Amino acid sequence: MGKDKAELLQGTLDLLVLKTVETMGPLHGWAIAKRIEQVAQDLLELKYGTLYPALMRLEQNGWISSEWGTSENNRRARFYSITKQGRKQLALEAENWEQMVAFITRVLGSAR
Amino acid sequence: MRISDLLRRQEIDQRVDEEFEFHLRMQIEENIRSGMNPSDACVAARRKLGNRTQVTEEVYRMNTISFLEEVAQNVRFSVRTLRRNPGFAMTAVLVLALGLGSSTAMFSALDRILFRPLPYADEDRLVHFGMTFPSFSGRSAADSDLILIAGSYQGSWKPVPEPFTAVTTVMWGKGSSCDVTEQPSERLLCAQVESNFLKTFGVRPVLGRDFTPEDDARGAPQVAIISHKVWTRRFGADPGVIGRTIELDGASASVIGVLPAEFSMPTSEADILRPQQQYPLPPGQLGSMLTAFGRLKPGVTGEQAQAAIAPIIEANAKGLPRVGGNSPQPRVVRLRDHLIGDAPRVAWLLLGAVAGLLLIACVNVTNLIVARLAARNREFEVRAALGAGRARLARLALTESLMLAVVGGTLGLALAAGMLRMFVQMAPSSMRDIERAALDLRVFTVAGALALVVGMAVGAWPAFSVWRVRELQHGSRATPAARPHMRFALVTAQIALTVAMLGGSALLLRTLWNQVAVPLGYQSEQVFTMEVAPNVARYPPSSRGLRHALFEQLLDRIRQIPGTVAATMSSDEFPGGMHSVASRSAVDRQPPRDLARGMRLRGRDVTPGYFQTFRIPILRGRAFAESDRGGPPVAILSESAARLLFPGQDPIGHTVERGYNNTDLTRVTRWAEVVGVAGDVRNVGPTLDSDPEIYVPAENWGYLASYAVYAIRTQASSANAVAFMKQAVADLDPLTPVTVEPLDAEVARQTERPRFVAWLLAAFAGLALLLAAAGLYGVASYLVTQRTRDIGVRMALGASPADISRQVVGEAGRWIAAGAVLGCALAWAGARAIEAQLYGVASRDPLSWMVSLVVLAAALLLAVQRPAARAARVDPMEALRAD
Repeated sequence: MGKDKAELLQGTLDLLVLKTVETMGPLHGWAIAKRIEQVAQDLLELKYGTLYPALMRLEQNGWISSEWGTSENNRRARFYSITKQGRKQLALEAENWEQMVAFITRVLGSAR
Repeated sequence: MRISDLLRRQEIDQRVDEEFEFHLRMQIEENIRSGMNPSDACVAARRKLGNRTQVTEEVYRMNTISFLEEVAQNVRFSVRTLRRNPGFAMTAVLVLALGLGSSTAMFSALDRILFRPLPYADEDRLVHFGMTFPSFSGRSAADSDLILIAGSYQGSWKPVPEPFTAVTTVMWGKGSSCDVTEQPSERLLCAQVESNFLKTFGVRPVLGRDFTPEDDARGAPQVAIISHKVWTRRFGADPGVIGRTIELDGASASVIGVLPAEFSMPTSEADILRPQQQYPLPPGQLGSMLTAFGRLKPGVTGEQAQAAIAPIIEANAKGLPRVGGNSPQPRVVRLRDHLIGDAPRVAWLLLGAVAGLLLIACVNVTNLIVARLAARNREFEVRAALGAGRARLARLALTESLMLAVVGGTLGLALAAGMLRMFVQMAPSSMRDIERAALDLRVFTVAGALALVVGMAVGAWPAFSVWRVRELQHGSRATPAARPHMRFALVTAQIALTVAMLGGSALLLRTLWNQVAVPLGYQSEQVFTMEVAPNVARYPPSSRGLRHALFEQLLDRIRQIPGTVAATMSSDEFPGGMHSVASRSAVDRQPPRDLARGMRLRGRDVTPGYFQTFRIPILRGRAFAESDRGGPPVAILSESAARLLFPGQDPIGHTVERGYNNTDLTRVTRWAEVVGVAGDVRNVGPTLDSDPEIYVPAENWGYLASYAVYAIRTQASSANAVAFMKQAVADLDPLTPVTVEPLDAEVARQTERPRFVAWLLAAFAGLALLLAAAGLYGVASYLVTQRTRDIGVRMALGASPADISRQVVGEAGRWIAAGAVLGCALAWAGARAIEAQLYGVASRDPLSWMVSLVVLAAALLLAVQRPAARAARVDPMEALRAD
């Protein structure tokens, strides 16, 4: 890996968001972004421009749900939490991810 | 999918705004906490968060475009993969085009019989009513009109009887003609209707006005409503035609209206409608025969209407002289049943056959796709591993089959246009309005829907099997798409459908054969017939000798045509004709007796060449001689007439009562001596018993007849004979239109319905067989490829090539047998559907079914020959080394 921060692979943001709301419970967008950045420890650049569309997409797919609430500093904010379907999807995508990693590792391995 | 979100932009905007605002504030607060001054904190936060509009745009794009974009992507991808495999794509498209094309053409042809309403307002409330006369109707469809005598009707019943809201009539008669006696002269079909005729059917002229009761009064000025066809052909679709006059039969009538293009008469076609103008009838006069129609009040059934109107018809019929020995029966039938008759039966049969063909085509293409999918299994596995969702993959597979169906359907439309033209030409004339069938919007819609359904059906299983692609299965051959028993089921189903179709067409071909092989009692080859009805204006019925002279001169001319072997003139078309029909008879100067119910006796005036011309054998006595015309009255009986009138006796020397024309325009009955007995002629139809017939020499012919029928037996070529006959008429009267027809054509027309059904079904069955053979070939080849390794092992263990190929053929044989058994069961159950179309053969006729099975087995075993041979050529060493 070079000095640049890694770009998020297409489709993996969904996985990260799902995992985050699964482990942390209901969160607003800001907190989700902070949490992902915190875990990534600057290895990864999160573009906020893609976060909100992703949240909406996940919600439309029925994997997360959202409702208006009040933030810790008393502001109106939208809180996201994972749904039952979302947990299934998370398991599936995690499995897919592992398969892909295995596959790519194998490809890279065999190419050597 | 997310189409509904297209409508929710405002909501999205608002939500993104709020989320953005919140995020910005949180970021600013954090920046301040980390020590920035407020204005810097603001700028930094904004920079980090990026462009707000871009986010909104991103959400829009995601919401609206993604679905369409995926479709576009799938389509592009499908086009690429299909193009990479043109053999597969072309086969699949062609097979689907064949199935969809024939279905579309068939639907278009049968639509009017089965689904489309008649072109009248609320057609389900229209009925045809009147009396059945046993001597006129009941046996053949052509003369099933119910008849009302004008004398009983007296110009509309007023008030209109319950449960009708309107009653109207047309003068009875098949295609009554009228002549346009101005240039260009032509003969048109005219119908004389009551003034409320169009109103009753809910039809309005597209131009001008409808008839009024005043138009229908006796002696009112002559008016006419012309058909759309005549309007365009004769008047160039000139809107100024209203008020122009047209000379009809020597009298001028003014055009008051033009009928809609889609209008079609509930009786035989008509070019011109005119008012009847026959009421009130002078006392004691019978008036004409009428065809009557009524519109029922909503919710009234045909039976209720019949019960209500029967007493009225009967009461009105009381004053009439008895028309025949059998009293007429009042009847009411739904207009649709009257016009379309039993055609839906045949239509459903044909539609069933074409649906079978389409089903076979679908199964075939499914089979192809599944086979290809097995080869592409690896590709789908990789895609799945790379993160393509199952649903996404299934949609991709479905897109491909939908594309095949859409392309196939489009090609099918072109095919359908050609097929439809063929159907229309082949169709029996009894198929009403078949020439109006076209690929219109309605047919397009159905064809499009059908293509989509077929695409979904064909893609359903492949999509499902893609859905189940879960993980990478390296090295393993067992893939869900390749499970052979499913493909076996598909092939078996195909074969079963094919068996049923083959058997059905075998039965119909035998029916056709039986009907064609019926001895008709005459020989039609090299005989040409011609009906001549002189122009009314030039030969009015009142100018006694003129027509008579014309008819006689024409007979002389026709006799002199080069190559003529025999020629004749007679009172009626051949072999049918209803010119003179009686249901009572008198023999040996006794009072007349009624015939048995349903029996009728035909009479025919002929010139002496009649029996030679048609080669009708004289069984006893003699044929007519020239001296019989004008000599003492004589008659010849048909065999069945002799049996009917003189049971158990030799009729020669007895007398029968027959009518003769007088030169003073009257017809008299005279006692004629029977001089001969002629063979029976199939005069009702090839499959029905002959009506008994009495022949008398034609005498003073033209004094009463409005037309005469000529026939010649010739040695000349068909073209010459036709030309000579037309010339003969033109020499005498160029204004009299004539059509000359070979008698063979008339004979063919009698069997046109079984011919149409048999050939169509046979064609569909042939295509089905072809597709089934192709399907079996595909599956067998695929299995051989798959089992190359097993075959190699077996060969290595000592199996001979012959054993191997026998094994392949044996396996295919088992499938064929299973399909055949299933097909026979299917046909056994569905035998009733075809029974009504059969003649001289049972629906479970063993010969037909055996022949179909043999044909099926031969074709299918031939189809597996190549895969079997390939299996036998497998090199064991190579097969084992591979993989």
